[in-house]
Amino acid sequence: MALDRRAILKFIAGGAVGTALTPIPLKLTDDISIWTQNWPWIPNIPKGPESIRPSLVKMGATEYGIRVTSVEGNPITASGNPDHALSQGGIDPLAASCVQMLYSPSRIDSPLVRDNGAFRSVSWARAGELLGNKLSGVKGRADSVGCISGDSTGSVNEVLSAFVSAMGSDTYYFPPSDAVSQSRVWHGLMSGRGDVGYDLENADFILCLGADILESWGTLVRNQKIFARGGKEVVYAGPLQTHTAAVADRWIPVGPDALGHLGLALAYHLRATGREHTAGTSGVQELRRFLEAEYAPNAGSKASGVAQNVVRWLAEKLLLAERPVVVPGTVGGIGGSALPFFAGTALNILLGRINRKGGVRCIPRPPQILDRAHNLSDIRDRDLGRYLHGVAEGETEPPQVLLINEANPAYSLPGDLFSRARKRIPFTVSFTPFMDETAAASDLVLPVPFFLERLEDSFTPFGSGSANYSLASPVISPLRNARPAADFVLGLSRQLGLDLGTDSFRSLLKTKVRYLDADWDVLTGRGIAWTDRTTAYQSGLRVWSSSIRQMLNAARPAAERSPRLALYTEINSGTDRIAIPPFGLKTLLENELQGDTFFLRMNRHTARQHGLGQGDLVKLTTEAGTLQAKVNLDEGVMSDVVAIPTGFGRTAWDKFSRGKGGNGYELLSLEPEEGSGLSRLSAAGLRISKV
Amino acid sequence: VPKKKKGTPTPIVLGLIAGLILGWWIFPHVLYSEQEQPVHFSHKTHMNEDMECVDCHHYRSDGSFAGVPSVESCARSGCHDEVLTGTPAEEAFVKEYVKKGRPVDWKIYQKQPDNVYFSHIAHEDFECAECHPDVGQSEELPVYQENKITGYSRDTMKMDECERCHARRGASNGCFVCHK
Repeated sequence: MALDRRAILKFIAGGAVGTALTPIPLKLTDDISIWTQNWPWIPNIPKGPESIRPSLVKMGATEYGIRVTSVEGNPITASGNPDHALSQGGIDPLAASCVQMLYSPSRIDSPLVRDNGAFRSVSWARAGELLGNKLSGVKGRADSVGCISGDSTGSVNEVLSAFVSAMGSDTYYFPPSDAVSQSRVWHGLMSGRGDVGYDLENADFILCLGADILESWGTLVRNQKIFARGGKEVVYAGPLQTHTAAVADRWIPVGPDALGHLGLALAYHLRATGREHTAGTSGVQELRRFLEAEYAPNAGSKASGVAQNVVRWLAEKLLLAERPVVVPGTVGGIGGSALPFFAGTALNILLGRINRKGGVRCIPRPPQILDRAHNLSDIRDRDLGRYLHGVAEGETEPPQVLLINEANPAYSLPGDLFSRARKRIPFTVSFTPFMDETAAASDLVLPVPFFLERLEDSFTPFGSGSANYSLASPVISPLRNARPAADFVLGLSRQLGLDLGTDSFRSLLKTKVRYLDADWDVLTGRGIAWTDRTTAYQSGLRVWSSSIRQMLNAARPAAERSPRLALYTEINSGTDRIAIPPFGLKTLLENELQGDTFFLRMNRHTARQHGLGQGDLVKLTTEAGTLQAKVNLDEGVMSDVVAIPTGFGRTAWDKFSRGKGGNGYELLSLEPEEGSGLSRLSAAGLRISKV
Repeated sequence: VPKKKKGTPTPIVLGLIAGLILGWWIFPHVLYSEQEQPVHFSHKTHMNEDMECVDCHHYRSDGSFAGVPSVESCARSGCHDEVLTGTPAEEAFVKEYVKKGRPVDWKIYQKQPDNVYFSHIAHEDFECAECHPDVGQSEELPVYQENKITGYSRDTMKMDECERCHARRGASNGCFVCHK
């Protein structure tokens, strides 16, 4: 056999046939197809014994019990806790991503101190020494230290506020929210006792006056469970079709700054029927005269922008319902002017719904263990925006050291308010698990464990229908070199020679559990909340305050036709405290986020007026700031309103959430509201231009 | 044209034979790497007449399959918490794993990938050896063969085997039965 070209070709042909008769072609094809799926970033599901432990969500939205499933001690997923009164087995999309956030790359590894403009990692001992030295020099001064706490229900506030008091200061605030506005109105303007709660379970007609009860207001998951059970009529009044409006029996479009007007127009109709409840209430005559003069049907309709027949229909619904309740709030749950809260609460009083089944339940003041601490209820009456406005304008003495506990004012306060105030504050300290916008601007960053990694409690989240207390043990040891803020501050107090009245956070909680006559093991072992349906007795409620006129004079009339801004919140986009998690990103539609550009919503009428169409890139400008967004045409937004979601425009955090969209808060400016002690948020001078 | 000598294979036949040898003998040796288990283990030594596979490869209380026994369970009941038999393999096991509390990185012959949901307890009516090698009386663990392309064990059960059995027994072959 000669080895020529022909022989070689024949050999190759034979080899090809032979190979085809072996597993090589099929096996290689199969293996290569499997190989293409083996990317290094695909996580492996851990295998091992599973365990389920209760926990307590603390992510900046509402708080309730959840269950965390772990494999070999490592949390892998979270679900609702059927035993917890505010969960009833449900979980919201943000809380469902809590395990993912536990491993977030934006977690902080160790204490960081700013050094020549950049952060330098230091030990906990060094961080304590540094802060102790700063504080020892100002101890006893009224301007020594201030605190902003993003946790409005936890006992950590007892430790932090007791520390602030012991240092000689009384500067302690929660960030602005519907809870703050409601509390301020209830205590400051209406002489109410206890805290306002809503017995939504037993109501048969719910009027949401701006409050997006199924997405951003109050006890979100509980509200959804109540709604899912049915049997009630829900009407939503607000500037856009929120998730509540989308499933309500009726949506009544009302401008974002006209909700208070609608409430007062409804109050006029109640008064006109003579069926309002006035027993034990003061200021009724003054309110009647005011409503006669300002909210007669035509004037009320003009002020609220709602047709007379619709206002009348709604008033009749409230009067005919057996157990109606009005839930005032803002579309995005961001607080602000007292007017809608005053109007909504006055309606509940006039309807005789205070401390009645299915109405407003007045929850007794939260328990307080440490003598020097500030009561949670008192802290909610204070307006942070107003305080920082005073600091920024040089009207209020700034604290020498500002402690910020799991709050993100650099992101969520209007315009550049925080950065202007920050310039007058010599030293800021941020307690946070994540490198958020506020931590990035702080002088000292102290990593705290994520809520899954620490002992945590919560007393009656805003909107609850009765007092409740939840307590949770850690489901995992801290994954980073983090320490709970309460324990660190207790150590700092000892260093400074201050006695706060407790040795440790755990012993404080033990005392609180005993005080409530609750069972530690039931609270932590099964995640069942302690509840108490006692109500705070009310007498001498006021439905009139001369401040109303001042508030109304400052509010814009609905007749003004320039575009208005409505910030709305969808929980899958995160909260002020938690940037949009990777799970949340996946839930966004292509008309919500495209690349790094997010979308605003406006209807065709508004778009036509500005010469805009679907997908156009626009620039929004107000007196406070600017941002860019694409237009999403949506008939679920009322005319002359531009709706912007919160949660976007992050400048810190990680690659998953940073630089996506714009921060709607930057378009807002803050003005102290005369008469209420609160602040109005406005987007004055809003202009839209096509880019 | 020169005449072909009688008995001399033509090039095409030689090529055919070479292809067959390549595909059936050389290819498997090249495709799979052979790896030893980190610890020598004799099933025969640990079995007695009354024992069943599930005595060691048990189900947890929630029904999930525990797989290979943990180091803790080997040390439990006074067996390998200290050296028991004195063999070099056992001494190494006690020293490297039991005393250090370090889990053994066993190479699993038949592990399904993460995109497959497989419940052992749903298949508990089968004899183990119907799907797994019958190693109950073996002195040595089989050599672990890893596919160099996919990284999977050679003994990994493929989807067609699952489907065939499901079809034969009238079980559903719907995608979401296994791919959740």
